[in-house]
Amino acid sequence: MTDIAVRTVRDARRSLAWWAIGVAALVWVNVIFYPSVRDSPEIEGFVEDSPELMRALLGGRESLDILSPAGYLDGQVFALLVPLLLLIFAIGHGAGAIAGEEERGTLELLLANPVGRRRLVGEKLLGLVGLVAVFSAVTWLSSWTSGLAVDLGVSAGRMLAATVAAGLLGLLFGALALLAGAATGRRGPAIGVPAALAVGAYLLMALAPLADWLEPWRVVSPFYYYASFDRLVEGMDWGASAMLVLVTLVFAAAATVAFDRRDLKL
Amino acid sequence: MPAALEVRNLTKRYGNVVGVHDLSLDLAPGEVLGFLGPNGAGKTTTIRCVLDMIRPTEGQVCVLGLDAREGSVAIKRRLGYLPGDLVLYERLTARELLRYFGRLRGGVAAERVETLAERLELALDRPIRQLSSGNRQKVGVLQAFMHDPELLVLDEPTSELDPLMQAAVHELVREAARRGAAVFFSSHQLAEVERIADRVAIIRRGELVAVDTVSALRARAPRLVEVRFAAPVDPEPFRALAPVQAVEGGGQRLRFAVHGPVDALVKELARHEVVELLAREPDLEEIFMAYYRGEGDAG
Repeated sequence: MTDIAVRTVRDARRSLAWWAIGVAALVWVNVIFYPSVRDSPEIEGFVEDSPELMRALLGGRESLDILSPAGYLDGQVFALLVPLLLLIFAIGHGAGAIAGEEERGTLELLLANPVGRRRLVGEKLLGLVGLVAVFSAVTWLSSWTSGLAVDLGVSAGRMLAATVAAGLLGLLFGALALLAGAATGRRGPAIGVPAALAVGAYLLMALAPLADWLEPWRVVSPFYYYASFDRLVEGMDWGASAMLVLVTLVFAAAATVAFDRRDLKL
Repeated sequence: MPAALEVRNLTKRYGNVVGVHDLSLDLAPGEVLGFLGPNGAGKTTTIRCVLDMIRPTEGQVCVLGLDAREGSVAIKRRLGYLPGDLVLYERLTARELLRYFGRLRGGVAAERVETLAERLELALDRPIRQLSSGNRQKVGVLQAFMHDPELLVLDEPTSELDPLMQAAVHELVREAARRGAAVFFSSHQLAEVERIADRVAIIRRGELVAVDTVSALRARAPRLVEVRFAAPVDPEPFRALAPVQAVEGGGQRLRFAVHGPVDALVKELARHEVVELLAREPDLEEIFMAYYRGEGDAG
């Protein structure tokens, strides 16, 4: 019962390979400059002089020492770069899963096989999990190896915790893309809705510390449960992970219901 | 044995647009039913309701004794479908695609695929994006037949195929019917329907206008009588005659569509000097066109 999931991953292997090369290169380039940044005297002053808003948007926080190993790795890699790439990747593939096949027209022949619509959503989600898992594994491997190369001093386990959180965050928005695609059958909304919500959620999380009235709303942003700096310092947060998984499953369940009820747009 | 397909009062509306209106038809095991109508008449809409791709606004569709929606997965296990707008996975080879679908069907005999590919003269190992439209159509035909389904639903199966391959597909249809499978196929080619269908269903603007055997449709249809007179004749008196449904032409040549006894027409003709008289059965195309003008059920 995993043939469609396997097919989905196999069909994406070329895209996955390019993404893997890209993310590995970006992680490496960022990490290997750590020694020169750390040893440069001007940088500390630059960070302190930069406006609060800019630091907030770049994933910084008041207590964050941007020149500590975890702070540097977070600021350069995990706070923005990795979730951004993962979200684009996961939203793209989540939108392609059903809406993509529906728009191209391959869905009609696929569903002529003895495959129920619920099973199709389930297998497409499973395929997405597989793709995001590979992407995350590459991210973790390149962080770990580049960290070793410059003797960064953040443990592989802490990096794994941050990568898992990033993967779960990507999966959540990928599942939202799957839901929007399953409900509408169109790639436009399947990409647009999760992309817009992701930007909103990121801004909410980043700007909340600057505005008191925003502060309590942070908990509705998935990025609140991502908290990559904490992961790099403290390791896994099972509660936050469970929250991301739970919301993903809710999206998937909603996708199943929405897809099962409507006419295919053929 | 339950009907292979039972459509009861099917209506499908898209907003205010009616795709299919109050359509009912049956298909018995071993029977070949040709579903005839021009593009946009509602053939594909009907077929997609059978496949549970879209849901009826009203009415029921039962396939192989099961409700089209509730039993969808069980139905599709026993059904072979060729869509009218065939879209295949471009990057796979035909063999990869057929293996994928075979796995989704819980395994399909590889020899069966090879035999069919040979009969259809299809090279299985080329990527689908390199195939001509005819060869793509063959891949579609192959995936519909490869698991020897009990019901075949074929939407314009022979479009894109050359006459030789059309014949090969017709032979596959006949074989399937011989082993007891029901075949529901749509077409706008009358000759094709006449050649392989036991019965014909004619659909016009979403409504079924006739379902019968080709010979019964022909028997029911008006006879065509063509007459050449020695001198120009006024067509008006002929229009008043009860069996005459239509009069065409003028001057020395008139053509009549006659339903029922021709006696009154012959007596009226006898008042003029007749040079030539020709009476014949209409061919399926004329019957079809008559239904399309909305005249077919006038008698």
